[in-house]
Amino acid sequence: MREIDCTRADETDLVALYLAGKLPENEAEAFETHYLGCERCAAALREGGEIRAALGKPVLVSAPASAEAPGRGQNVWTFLAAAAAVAAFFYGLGHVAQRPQLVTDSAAFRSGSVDSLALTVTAGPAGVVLEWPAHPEAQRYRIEVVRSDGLPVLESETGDRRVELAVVDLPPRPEGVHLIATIEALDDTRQVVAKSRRETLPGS
Amino acid sequence: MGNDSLGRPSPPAPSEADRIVREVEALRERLLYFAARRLRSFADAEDVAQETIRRAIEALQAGRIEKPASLPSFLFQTALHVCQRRYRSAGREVKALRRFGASTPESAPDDPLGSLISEERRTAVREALGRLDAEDREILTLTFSEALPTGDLARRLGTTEGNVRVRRHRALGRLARLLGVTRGTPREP
Repeated sequence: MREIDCTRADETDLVALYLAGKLPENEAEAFETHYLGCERCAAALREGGEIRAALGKPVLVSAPASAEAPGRGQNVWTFLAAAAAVAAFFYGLGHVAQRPQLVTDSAAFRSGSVDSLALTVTAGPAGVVLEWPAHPEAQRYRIEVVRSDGLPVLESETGDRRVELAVVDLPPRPEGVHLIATIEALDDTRQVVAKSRRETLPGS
Repeated sequence: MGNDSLGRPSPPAPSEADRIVREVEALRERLLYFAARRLRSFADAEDVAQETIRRAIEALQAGRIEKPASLPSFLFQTALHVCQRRYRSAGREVKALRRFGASTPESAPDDPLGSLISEERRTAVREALGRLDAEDREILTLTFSEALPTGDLARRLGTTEGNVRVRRHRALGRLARLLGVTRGTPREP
């Protein structure tokens, strides 16, 4: 993704084209990465949105249909790699009866402290095996993998207590950045009743 | 943020935790733009912004984002991830509705962020635009309403791209002064 500096955003028509939905998708995403960290461009975005609204135009025109699935285009490899990883994750050792559904809502933490869950991480034939004991109140377990620099990599749920993660199928990472896994046990109201420590994945 | 005896990041002090929350909360409007462009719904965009802010605060408080410069990239990836999940979930809902013969959800509004700007503010900006001279108003209208690229705008006006940029910059400055704000500084929501 091409980087955008603030000077360029200010001197050109980036903001107006972005709000009107006329910026190519790769440039729109580059601008988004920029304005999420730039107060000046965020102010320009608000200013442009107000002018458009005053002129009777939509504040923001949504992405065109060809790009409406979030992450298509520049980030399609991320999506495909994550999908491949999810597949490998749940088919790895043949211990999974059915593929779990993607998480559709967030689990809430139960007030007060939650139990600890002992997560064991070992090397497996196709990647890394994650195992944890059953929790008496758990209906499902949420698996979350993040990079050591904080970026989310994978999130899914399962009813099993053992899964294999094909690390090589995950998106490439900068040197020195490793992967960290956490397991959360969810009860029937989707509250977190137990949580593992953050475990670094070997070979990542 | 320091480390405990095991080398793990220690929890932030209360004042630092408040600062983290305030700083991430300040990014809510930017996340609304990001999400609304993809999901075409203000309510969905609000949910994505809220979820992204929650995750960012958790990550910052846990010390998973060590450098402030990494925050925009974290927000981009996290918001994209949350949007993807919501988009796939919406796709499944549509399929389920079709399976049971129900009607599909009504189409998304054409202006998902329309409610972000009050009618009072629209009127104030409209009146300020009306008080600009004709040249200033023309260049702002062509830029923001017709969204003409600078090159096209220059050809339309029979001038250079550089001149268009200068005129637009000055017109925006005059508009801001009429509205009583200083350009380039975020206004209180």
